[in-house]
Amino acid sequence: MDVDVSSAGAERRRVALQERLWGAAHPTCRRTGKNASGQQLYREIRSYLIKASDRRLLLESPDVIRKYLRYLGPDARDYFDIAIGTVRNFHRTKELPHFTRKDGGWFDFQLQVKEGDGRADIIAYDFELRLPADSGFDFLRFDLNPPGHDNEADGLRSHMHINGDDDGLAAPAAVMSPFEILDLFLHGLRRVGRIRRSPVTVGTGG
Amino acid sequence: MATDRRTRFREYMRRLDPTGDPAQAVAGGFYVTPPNAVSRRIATRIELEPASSHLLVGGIGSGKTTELIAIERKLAEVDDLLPVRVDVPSRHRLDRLKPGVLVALAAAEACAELSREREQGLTVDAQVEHEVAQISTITRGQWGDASDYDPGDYRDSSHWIKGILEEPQLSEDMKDLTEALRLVHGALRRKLVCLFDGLDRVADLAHLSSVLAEDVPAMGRAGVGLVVVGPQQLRFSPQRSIEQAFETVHLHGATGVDTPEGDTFLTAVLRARAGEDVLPPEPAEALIRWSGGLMRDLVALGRAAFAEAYAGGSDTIQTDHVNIAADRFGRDLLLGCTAEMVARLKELLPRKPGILRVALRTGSLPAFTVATELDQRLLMERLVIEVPGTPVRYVLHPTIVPLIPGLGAS
Amino acid sequence: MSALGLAELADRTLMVPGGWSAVVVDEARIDATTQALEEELTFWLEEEGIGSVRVFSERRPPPALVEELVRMTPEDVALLPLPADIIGPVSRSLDYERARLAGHPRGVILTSEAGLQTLAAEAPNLWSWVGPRVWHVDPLAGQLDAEARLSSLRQGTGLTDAEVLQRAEGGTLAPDPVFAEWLVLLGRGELLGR
Repeated sequence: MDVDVSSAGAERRRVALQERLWGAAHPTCRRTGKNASGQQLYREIRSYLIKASDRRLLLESPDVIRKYLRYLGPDARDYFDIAIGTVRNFHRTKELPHFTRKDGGWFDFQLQVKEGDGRADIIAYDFELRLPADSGFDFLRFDLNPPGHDNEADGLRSHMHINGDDDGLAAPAAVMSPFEILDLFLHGLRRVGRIRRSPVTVGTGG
Repeated sequence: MATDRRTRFREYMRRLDPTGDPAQAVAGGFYVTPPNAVSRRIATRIELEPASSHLLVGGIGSGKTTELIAIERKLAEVDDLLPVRVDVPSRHRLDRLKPGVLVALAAAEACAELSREREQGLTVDAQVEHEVAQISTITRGQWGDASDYDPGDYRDSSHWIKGILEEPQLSEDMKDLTEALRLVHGALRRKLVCLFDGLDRVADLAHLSSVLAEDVPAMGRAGVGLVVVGPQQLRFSPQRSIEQAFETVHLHGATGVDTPEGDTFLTAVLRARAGEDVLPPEPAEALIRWSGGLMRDLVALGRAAFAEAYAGGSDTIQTDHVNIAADRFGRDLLLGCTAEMVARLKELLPRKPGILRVALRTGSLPAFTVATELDQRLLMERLVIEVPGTPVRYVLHPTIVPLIPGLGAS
Repeated sequence: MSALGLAELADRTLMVPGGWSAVVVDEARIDATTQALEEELTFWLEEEGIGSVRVFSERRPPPALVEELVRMTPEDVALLPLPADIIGPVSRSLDYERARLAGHPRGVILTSEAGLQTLAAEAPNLWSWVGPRVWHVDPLAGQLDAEARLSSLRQGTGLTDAEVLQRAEGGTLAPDPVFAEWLVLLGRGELLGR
């Protein structure tokens, strides 16, 4: 399989990668014990964002964070939704509710949770960060697709988009907890001035 | 590590605590002497006449306990005086207040001081020893027959002759107690001055009056100095003649916000807690105006303004934050109002629209004589503020003035 | 009126140690609000790692209540659901003994508007402690308007609810996070994974 360079071979390896990513995902996406609720996750996310505001990692105030971060549920089938604002931001409109980094980068997200049997599973999410100009790319989005056989077919249940919404430009990504993604959005994904180049060696034997 | 916003604001809000222990606030350096401070007047008088008695009355939240603490600190600097501040409700159930309670509390303090002075070498004669035992018997009660005492049998109370602090007092006990206090107090090197706090919470003024009518003269006979914090409404009640049992009566209330010394004082109260970097002059002035000069309300409004600023993401207090806090404060004050109170407030509101601004700054209410229970209730619930002076002035709490016109509108 | 969500109410309660506040709700909602507020406060206190919440829902003699309150620390929170019929004697007792309560727990009284008037009249000192901290509860704070959200999904994709449901039932719905949210908002989360 390792030497099969056909698209079928690549697809098989991609599916195996997704299984590996998903196998590592359970501790991330499955919440148990007293954390086994969408409401608890909602509180934790709210607390995280307010603390980020307190440290000026986010420009929005605690009042605005409470206003923007919304929840619904659990419904009769134990599903829970967490979102930013009321209108889903399909067109990357800055006028819609979002959260802003000090450097002007801004983001929003939504996720869905299924409760039951003493646990709460994150079943789908999308977190998108739009970057300031000259960052190297305009936006980055982490998607966790909901369960479905198409995922198994194309091995892209958990993936990321960089600068393009076309599914053909998606790359597999680790399943992350909301906090791991938010950590990346707040503390990472910004120019640091260090650029790796391939060393050009002339006559060094290296 | 840089302090985050929440930690910074929490620290400021901690300093602006309207419910905290006043003793801690004073010890923490937050006390500022008010203009014409009643504490200064009373302390000076007691230094000259240690056995004098003084009644301190004033509005809720005006800072009476803080002034009492200031008196205590001032008198503690005098070598031969022993000021002792007692919160009466903490030592004795207010619903069981009766003549002799204050004398009993003073006697207990005198005995405690005697014990301390004996450890430092004071010698006392047998008579004084006997009086100490007498005080203990009268104040705390005794077993009728020691041989019948069974500490394991809590059902058997028939032999327990209860003392002053539990059961109605016999007048004979009062005479004996007063005499015992006089003798024990006379043996002390330092002269006791009792500062009784908490009696302003007694609702039954007739009952309080009967207690003071006996205890104040008794304390005088025993040679013990006395300051009692009494209820604000005592002055308007049929029991106001009890004021004559005291040598002086002092009214403590809101500080006039429209005088230079009042403004300076209230600004100093704020500045002891927050500098101009976080509370600039304009919002500080707004806080003072909205507070009506009432100490607790100034601090509570300040804290509320800080809460608004934090929630709104600002690093400093702005006038908008103060105005939001004041609006909320006024609405909360009015939430406690009955329809009758609302009607009375509308009567008291200055008529001319232009005067509304003036009402916030200066001026006194027309026809507010506190002669009725309704007016007294407005005073008790701080909808009307009493500003001591000559004459005493009454003003509507500034936070309710903009809201009154809209009350009761359908 | 100052209506806050329970989360913000809890946050304001916990900003400083000690202090008293009042929450005004319909008499019939006092117990449910107390329970919901207890959950929010418990979460925040666990985050801070200090203090605990205690609900005083059983009727007890007021002096006994004061004795229990003075054993709590200023980081703790005492929730006192007090319907209008019992708030009088309780608040009087708290008022008498307020000197002992200073430096003890954050007190939150949950009562009705009628109860609040009684508190103001019977416990004027405690009332002055409450000051501007009287709050009404906004039960919808933080909640997502499902219909408004669905409307934005329809506008953003050009699809209708019926089309999405049909595809989901037929197993042809793309496994896209947008549709996960759509089905959850329609109350049809069980169709995910078909």
